[in-house]
Amino acid sequence: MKNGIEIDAQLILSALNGDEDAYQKILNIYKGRIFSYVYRIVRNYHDAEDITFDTFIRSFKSLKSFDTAKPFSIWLFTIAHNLVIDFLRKNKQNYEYLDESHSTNNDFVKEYEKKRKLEKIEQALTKLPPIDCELVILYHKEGHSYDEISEILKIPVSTIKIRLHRARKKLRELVHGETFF
Amino acid sequence: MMIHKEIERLIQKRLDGKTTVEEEHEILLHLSLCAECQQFYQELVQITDAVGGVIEFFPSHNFNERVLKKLGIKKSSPWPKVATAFAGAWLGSLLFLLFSPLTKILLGKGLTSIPAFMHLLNKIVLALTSLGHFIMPFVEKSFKSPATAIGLIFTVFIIYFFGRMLKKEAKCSSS
Repeated sequence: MKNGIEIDAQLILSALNGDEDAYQKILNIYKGRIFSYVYRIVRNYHDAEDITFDTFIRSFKSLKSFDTAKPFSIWLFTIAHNLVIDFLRKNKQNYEYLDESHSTNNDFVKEYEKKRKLEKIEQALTKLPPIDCELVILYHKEGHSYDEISEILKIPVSTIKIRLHRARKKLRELVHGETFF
Repeated sequence: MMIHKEIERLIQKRLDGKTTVEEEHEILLHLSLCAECQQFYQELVQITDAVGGVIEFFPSHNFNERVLKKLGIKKSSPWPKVATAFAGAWLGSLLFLLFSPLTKILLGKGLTSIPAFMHLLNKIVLALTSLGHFIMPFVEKSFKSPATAIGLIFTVFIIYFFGRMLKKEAKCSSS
């Protein structure tokens, strides 16, 4: 983990004792990261919020089973990933080969993203298949290692490497609009 | 000279930070000779760096409250403590008045000095009447407009609901 802060075991214990402040701290640290990750895959604000909500509810309800020796973010991202997969299945969207033209581009995002210099990257990310987008975000945005991503997605490291390399190349093509090699 | 596919593999490896010293030399040598690969490398580095800086989206402002409500985690409030402190103070004062010898002494003194007390009472009544004469024109004027009556009713309601809220909070904290 090179990006983002991690919470300590003490905070988890406080949450287990019903300390409201501990829950608030955990939510404030992770809600943006989980929501952004989910949003970039499902591409709809309300669906992303529902999935993020369920992620936290599920994780807090089974907090007792969390191994405090491991980073909390990996646990959260694993739950979020499973919920995203369920969502895509329910909505009959293929996780591996989602229709690339599918993009909701709702008003909220339009308004928000116009103000940002990274609009091109953001648009290119929405055009990537969900799994590729997920890999790019987990590796380059969240800073997880190949091993950590393997734990979250339950995919072998070798597959992750190949897919990430392909995703980077695809992202470059989408941003610059040309193909090399 | 290395072929493009091979250099692409090495560039990807470099982005993962896994290249050896020899591979680094190979990449740099190739990039210095091949403009196409140089452009590919630069664009790839720019994009992957930019992904790390893409904005973070946030759920709606009441997200935390919704999660905590669903989990049944109550927000800690200072009101039950305040209400308990007030109740304690009232009870303490009442017990003091009932059982303290000081109350008996004061009552005794008060009874023996009824004329003085009556004199004091007359003074108070006089002061209040004078104050009434002074205030009444303003009060009459105020009550001609409905705003004062509405304000009064509103105040009574606020006091009533504040009391109910305290009672509810105290009930919640005890359960």
